[in-house]
Amino acid sequence: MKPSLTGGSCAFSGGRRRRVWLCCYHGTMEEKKKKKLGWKRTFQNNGYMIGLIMKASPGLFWIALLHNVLSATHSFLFQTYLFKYTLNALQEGKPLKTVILTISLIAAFGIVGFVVYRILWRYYEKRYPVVDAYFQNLLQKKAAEVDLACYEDPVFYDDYVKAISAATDKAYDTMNNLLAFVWIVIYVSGAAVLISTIDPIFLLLALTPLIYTLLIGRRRNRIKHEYDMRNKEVGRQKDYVRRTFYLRDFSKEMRLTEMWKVMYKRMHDSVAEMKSIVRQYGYKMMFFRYLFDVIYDLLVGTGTIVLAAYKTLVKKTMLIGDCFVVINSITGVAANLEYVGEVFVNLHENALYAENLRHFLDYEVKIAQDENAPAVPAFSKLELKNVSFSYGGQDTPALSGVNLTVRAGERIAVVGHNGAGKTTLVKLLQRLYDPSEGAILLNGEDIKTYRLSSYRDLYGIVFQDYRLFATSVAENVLLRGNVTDEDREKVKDALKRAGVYDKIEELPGGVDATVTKEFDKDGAVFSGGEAQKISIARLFAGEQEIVIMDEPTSALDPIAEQEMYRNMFDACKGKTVIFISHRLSSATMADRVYMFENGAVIEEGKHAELLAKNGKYAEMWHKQADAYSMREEATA
Amino acid sequence: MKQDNVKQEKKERHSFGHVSRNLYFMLRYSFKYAPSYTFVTLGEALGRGGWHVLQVLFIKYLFDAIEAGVEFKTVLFWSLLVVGYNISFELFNKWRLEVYRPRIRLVLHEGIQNELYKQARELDQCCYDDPEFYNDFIWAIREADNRTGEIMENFSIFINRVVSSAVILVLLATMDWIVAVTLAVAVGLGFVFRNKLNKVNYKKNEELNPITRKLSYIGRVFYLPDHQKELRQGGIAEHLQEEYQRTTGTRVACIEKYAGKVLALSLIIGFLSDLIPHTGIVAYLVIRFLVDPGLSLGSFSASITATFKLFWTINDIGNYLTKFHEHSLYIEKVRKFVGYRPTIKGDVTGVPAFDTLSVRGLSFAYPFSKDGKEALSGIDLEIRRGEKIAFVGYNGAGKTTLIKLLMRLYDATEGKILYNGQDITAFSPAEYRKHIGAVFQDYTVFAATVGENVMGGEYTEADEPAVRAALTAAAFDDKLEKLPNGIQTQLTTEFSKEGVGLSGGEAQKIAIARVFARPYELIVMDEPSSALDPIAEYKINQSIIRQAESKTVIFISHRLSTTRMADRIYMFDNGKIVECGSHDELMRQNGKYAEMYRVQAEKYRDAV
Repeated sequence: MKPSLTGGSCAFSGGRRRRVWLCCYHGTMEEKKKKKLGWKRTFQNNGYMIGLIMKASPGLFWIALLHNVLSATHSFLFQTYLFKYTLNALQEGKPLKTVILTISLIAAFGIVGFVVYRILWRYYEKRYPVVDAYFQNLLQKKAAEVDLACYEDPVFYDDYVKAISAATDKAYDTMNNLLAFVWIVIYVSGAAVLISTIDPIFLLLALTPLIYTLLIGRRRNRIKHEYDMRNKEVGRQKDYVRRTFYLRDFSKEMRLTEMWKVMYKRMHDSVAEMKSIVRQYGYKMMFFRYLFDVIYDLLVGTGTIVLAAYKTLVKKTMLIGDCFVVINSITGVAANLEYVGEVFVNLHENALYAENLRHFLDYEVKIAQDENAPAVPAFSKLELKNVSFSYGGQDTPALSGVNLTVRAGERIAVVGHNGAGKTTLVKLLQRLYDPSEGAILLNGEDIKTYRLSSYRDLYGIVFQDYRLFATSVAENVLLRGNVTDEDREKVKDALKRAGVYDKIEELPGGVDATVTKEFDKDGAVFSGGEAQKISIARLFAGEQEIVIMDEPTSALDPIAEQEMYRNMFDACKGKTVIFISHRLSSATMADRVYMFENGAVIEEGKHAELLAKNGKYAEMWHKQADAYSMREEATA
Repeated sequence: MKQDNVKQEKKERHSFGHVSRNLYFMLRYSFKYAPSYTFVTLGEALGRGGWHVLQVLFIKYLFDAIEAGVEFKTVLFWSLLVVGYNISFELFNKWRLEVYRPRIRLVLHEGIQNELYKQARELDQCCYDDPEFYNDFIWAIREADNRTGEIMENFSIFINRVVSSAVILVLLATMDWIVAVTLAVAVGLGFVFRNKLNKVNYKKNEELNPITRKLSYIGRVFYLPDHQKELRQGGIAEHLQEEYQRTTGTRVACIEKYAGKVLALSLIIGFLSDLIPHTGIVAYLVIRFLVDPGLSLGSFSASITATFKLFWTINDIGNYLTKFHEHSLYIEKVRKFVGYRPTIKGDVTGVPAFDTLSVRGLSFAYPFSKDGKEALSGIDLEIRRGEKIAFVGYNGAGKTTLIKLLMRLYDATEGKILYNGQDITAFSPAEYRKHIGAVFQDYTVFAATVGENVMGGEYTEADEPAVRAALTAAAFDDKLEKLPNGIQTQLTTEFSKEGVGLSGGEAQKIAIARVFARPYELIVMDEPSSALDPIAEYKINQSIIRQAESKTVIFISHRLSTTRMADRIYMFDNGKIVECGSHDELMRQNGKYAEMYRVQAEKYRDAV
C-alpha cells in the first residue's frame, strides 16, 4: 500500500483529511490503516534509523548487539541450562568434579558478564550525547533551510517538524527493539531446544499467550486506542482548567472576574464525562486483560505443572529433573514469546516515525540555496510585478496583483489596517515565500536567479514579532557567533543608537551578558520595549542596503518612538528604507506611501498627494490626526 | 554556625519521621475524598503478598510430592486450588485497575483540585512575581491529584514488598538459613552503597542539568515556529549549531568525570545485590543439592524460587524508599502552597456604591523587583463620581502599577487608598471588585463562549441583552454577526476545532466589552486600544465616551490623543505624579505633558 505521506509540497491534501479524525473516532481507525506501511518499507525504515545511529557512532550498534548476544546466552545458561545439566548429571551419576567444574565455568561466565555489562553501561552513557549531537546537527541544518511555510502549515508542522525533537530517542527505541528481538530469539531458541528434547508439547503451551495476542490483541488495541483518544480529548479540557488557575497570564482575570466559576463548571463537566467514558470502556478493557490472565494462568502456569506432574507421576514418561526444568523455564519462554508481538508493533510504530523523519529530511526545499547562483549586485531598484500570493490551504489570497517599486535611497511607507497584507509583503520580499503569481525583480532580474543567502543579506529587518535568542547580547545584535573586539565596538555603537546601551552597560558582562534566564541564572531579562530596541539595534550593526521595519515602535512610548525614528533615519542615511505601520504619523516622512487593503494596493503616492486625493488614506489620517485636533491646539 | 543549621535542616528533611509526616499529609486527601481507595489498594497489596508466599510454598509442596510419588489427583487438587486463588485475585485486581482506579482517580482529582484552585485564587498576586514560589506552585498544583494516587499505590506496593519479603525470608531460613542470612546482609549492604550512588548521581545531574537545558533550548529554537524568521537571517543558525556541538563536548566531559566513581559503585552494588543473590546463591544451592542428600528437590526448588523473589522484592523496597523521598520533596512544595495565607483580604462585605476615591501618600515597591526601586512614591490623588480621569506618562512610569493597587492585586507599602473615605484594605476583595471594572493591557481571552468571556463568569439567557450591548459598545458587533453560534460561539481552538480564534484586536474588544457588561461604577482602561488600528481605535474611544457618560472612568495611555478629553490628567514620571490638570491647563503649563503632546502631534501637524 502506498503511504499517503509522499506529497512534495507542505500543504498536501492528505493532511487536511486527517484534521477531521480528531473529532471522529471511526475515521481515526480508517486513517490509521491507510497510513500503515508495507513490510518492505517497514524493514527499510527500521534499517534507515539504525543506519543513522551507525553513522553517528560506528561501534555502538555492534557492541550493543554483542552485549545482547552475551546477555541472552547468560540468561539461558543460568535460568534453564544449569538446572537441566545438574539434574541430569545427578541422575547419570557424572563425577562430582566435572559437574562442579561446569557449574563454576557457568558462574565464571556470569561474573565476567557482570563486570563487562557495567563497563558497557558507562560506555552507552557517553555515546548517547554524541549520537544526539549527530542527529541534531542533521536535523537543525535541515530545519534552518526548509521553507517557512513548513512552520506555518499546522499539519506539516505537527507531523514532521515537531516530530524531530524526539529523533534521538526514537532512533534508540528502534535499535533497542531490534536488540530485544535478537535477545529473545537466542534465549527462546535455546530454551525451546532444551524443552523439545524433553517434550515438545510444552512449547505449544508456551505459545498460547502469543497466539492470544495475535488473535485478540488487535481488537484489544483498537478499543484501547479509542478509549485513549476519547480520554485525551476530554482530558484536554481538564488540563486547560488547571492551567487557568496556575498560569500568570490568567491570574488577574481569575481575581477580578468570576471566570473561575465557569472554569469550575468546566472541570466538573469534563470529570463527569471522563467517568462515563470509564464506565463505557472500563469493563471491556478489564475483560480483555482478565482473559489474558486466565489463559496464562491456566494454560502456561498450571497447565504445565499439571501436565508435567501427570507425565512424571502417572505416565512415568518424564524424569523428575526434566519435570523441574520444564516447570521452571516455561513461564520465561512464554513471556518472551508474547513479547515478540510487541516487538512487531514497535517495528511498525518506529517505521512510521522514521517515515516522517525521512519525509522531513527528503523534503525538497522550494526556496533553496544554490551556491552557483550569482551574488546580488549593488542595489538600484526593486520591483513587484503583479504579485499575488495565497497561504497554503487558504482560499482568499493574502496579496493580489500588487505592483510596487522601490529605488535605492528611497523611503517607502506601507500602511493599512491589520490583516491588509503588509507583513506578507515583507515575507515575500525577504524570500521566505515565493509569489504564487507575478514576480519580484531586483535590478530588473527575477530575485530567484540570485543566490539565496546573498539575496537575504541585502535586508536588515525588524519584525513585529521579533525574537531574542538566549545567547549573548552581542550575538543577538549581530545575529551570528564569533564576536571579535571590533564587533563589540560595533554592537555598543548600535545599542547606543537604539537607545538601550545604558541598560546593557549595567549588566555584568556588558554586551557579552546572556539574554534570558533560560540557562544562565544571571541572564538578563528585558522589558518589551528594551527587547524591541535590541532587535532594532540589529539594523544599526548591519551593513544591509535595504532596511525593513515592520511596526518597529509598537511597544515604545511617543518620546522613545520619536527618538527611534530620528536615529533610524540617521543611521539609514543612504540606505533604502521600507517601513510598515498602521500609525500614519510616520508615513509623512516617506518619499512614497502605499496604502494596502485586502491584499491589494488601493492608493499610492506622497503623503500630501494622498491627502489631497481624499480617499481611504485621507480618511484614516484624519481620524488619527483629529484626536490631536490641530486647530484647537494652534490657538492654545 | 549557619552552615550547621542548614545541614541540620537538610538532615531533618530527609529524616524518616519527616518523610512519613509528609506522606501522611498527602494521603489525607485521599482519605477525605476517596475513602474506599485505601481499602481497595491495601486489599490488593495483601492479596498479592499472599500470592507470592503461596507460590514458594506450592513449589516446595509440588516437588516434594513428585519426588515422593504422591497420587496425581492430590497434586491436581492442590494445583487447581492455587490457580483458583490467583484467578479470583486477578479478577479483583483487573477490576481495580480498569474500572475502579480510573474512576476513583477522577473523584480524587475533583476533590483535590477544588481545594487547590480555591487556594490558588486567593493567592496574592505577588506570589506570581516570586519565581521560586511560582515554580513550586505550578509544580504543586499540576501534579497534586496524580501524586496522591501514586503515593497511595506506592505505599501499598511497599507494604506488599515488606510483608512478602519478611515471610519469604522466614520460609527460606527454615530451608537454608545460611542463604537467608547472606541474602539479607548482602542486599542490606547494597542499600547503603546505593544510597551513596544516588548522592553521586544527584551531584552529577546537578552539573548536567544546565548543560542539557542549553541543548534542549537550542533544539527548541530550531523546531518551534517562533524564531524561524530570525534563523533565516544572518549566521545565527550556524552559530547555534556549533554551540550545540560544543555543549555536547561539555556534556560528555561531565559524564566522563563521574564515570569512574559511578562504575566503582555500581560494581559494588551489583556484587552485593545482583551477583551474590543471582549467581552466588544459585550456584551454592545447586552444589549443595548435589552433595547434600538432606536437601529435597522441593526445598531446593523452593529455595531457588524464594531467592529470585527476594532478590526482586527487597530491591524494590529500596526503590520505593527512594521514591518516598522524592514524594516528600514534592509534598514540601504542596504544604508551602497550601499553608500560604493570603495578605490581601478583608472582612467588610457591605461595599457601598462608588462616590469618591482618594489616594493618600501612597508608595509601593514590588516585593520581588530586582533593584528594589519603588514603582510608586508619594502619590496623592482624588477622583469623584462621574469624572473622566487620564493617567499618562512614559512606559514604566507607574501607571499600571497604580491600577493594580486600586484593584487590590497588591497592597500599598506606605500610605493608603480610600474608597468613600474608607480604607480599601477593610473590604472583602471580591465584594470591593464588584464595583470596579478594569481592562488591562495584557488581557486574556478564555477558552469559553463569547457570552462567558464577556460576562467574566457564568452566562445565562437573561444576560443576552447586556452582552449584546457591551459587544456593540466595544465595536465587536460586526464580528459577532459573522460568528457561527453568535454569543454561544466557543472562543479559541484550545479544545474544539470549531472554536474561533480571534486576532489581537478582536480579543482586545472582548476584554473591553467585559467592563460594559456589568454595572461597574468605576471603569479603568489600561491602554485599551494598543492592538487596534487607528480606525478601530477611534471607534472604541468614541464608544467608551458615550457608554461611560454616567460612569467614572480612568484612562491610561501613552497616546495622548486618547486622553485629551479627560476632566483631569495626571502625568506620571518615574513613579511620581509630576503634573496634574486638564489638557488646556497642562498645555499652558508647558511642562512635560506639553512636550510629550507636541512630539506626538507634531508628526500629524507638519504634514497637513
